[in-house]
This record gives sequence, C-alpha cells and structure tokens, in this order.
Amino acid sequence: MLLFAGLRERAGRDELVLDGLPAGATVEQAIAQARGDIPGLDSVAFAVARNRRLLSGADGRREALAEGDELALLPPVSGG
Amino acid sequence: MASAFTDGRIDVDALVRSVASDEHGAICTFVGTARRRSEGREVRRLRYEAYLPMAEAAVAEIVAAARARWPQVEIAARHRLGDCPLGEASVAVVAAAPHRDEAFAACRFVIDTVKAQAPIWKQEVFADGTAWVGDPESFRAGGAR
Repeated sequence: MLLFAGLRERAGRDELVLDGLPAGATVEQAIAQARGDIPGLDSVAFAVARNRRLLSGADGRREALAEGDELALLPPVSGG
Repeated sequence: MASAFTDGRIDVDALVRSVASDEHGAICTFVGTARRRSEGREVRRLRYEAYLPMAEAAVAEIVAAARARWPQVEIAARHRLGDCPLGEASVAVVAAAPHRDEAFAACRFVIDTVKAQAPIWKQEVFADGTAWVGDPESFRAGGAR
C-alpha cells in the first residue's frame, strides 16, 4: 500500500506491505489492517486508488483484492 | 510524449515553442508560482510530491479531454516536483489555438482540472514547520528539513 504526503509522514514511510490478509479480502479490510500503522488516518478524508485507478466511495472499498494489487491512499490533492 | 513532471525549473518558453505553429493565432499561457503568503503565514518555499504514474496518466487524460472538446487546440502542461523556491513556477499550461477564445478556455480547463484531480500534493515550508495544503492536521514542527 502506497502512502503520500501527510499520510506518508504520519506513517513514517511511503509503503506498507500488507501480508496475512485472508483470500478475498476487500479494500476496506486492507485499510483496516493499515490503520494501526498510520496514526491519525481517520482525521484525513483520503481517496483510495487500486492499481492506479481511483475507487469510488463505499462500493469501491468493497472490491475484493487480488495478490499483488497496488493500493494507494491519497490525501486531498493540492497540485498547482 | 514528454513527461508532465520535472524536478527542476519549468522552461515556459520551451513549452510555448512546443505548441506554437503558424496554424494558430493565439497562445494562452498560465504559470502558477510559489507565493510567500499563505493565510497570513510566511512561506519559505513549497515542496511538491506526486503519485507519479497515476499523475502522468491523469494529466494526459485531462489534456486529451481538452483536445476532444477543442479539437483545434494544441496543449502542453508541466508540473514541478520537489522543492520550488518562492517566485518560481510550480506549474505551467500552454494552449495554442486559431483564436483566443478556445486558447483561454482550454488553458483554464486544463489548469483547473489538474489542480482538482491529479494526485499531486503541495507542502508549505514555514520557518517553524511544514504542512500539507488541504490536510490541516498535518503540521509538523521543524521547517528547516
């Protein structure tokens, strides 16, 4: 799981490896497992990308993961 | 296609030349620059990061959407990553068109959509700490890093 900006700083690293997730685990379960490694995660309105595609809302977070998926947690963007 | 991102200064003149042609009668250039004041606080510099592969794709899609909407417009965009000193360009968008209306419209669409959608993040570096824009609880003491 890739972390950016304020989430990267909160975790103290830019990537988390989530092993031990059960087969068929969902995006939401992966986020739940990562929560312990990202202090203050719930204070940020972050979006989630799976394999570089933005997931939409609660439906997206119910998608089942496959081995090797690249998840990324994206805090509110502020380019420009 | 050239990357939409650079670690160094943005060469705005080169970006303009990349879209210029004698088919066009107008080139609109938007340059975003690093500002010293942010909500009353003094900023020392800006720092940018991106989810690079996704951000490259996002900018390419936004430019493609603009070209679909204004087919006669040539567009190029660059965003800086890493440190951006005050007064220097953090982003530039150029749009060349037969007439100015389409050039202005396409340029505006691209910069507005890149700012709203592309996975790019701006950190403000203050004298006493740093904060990510749009993430108010991200302030960390120690701006001299």
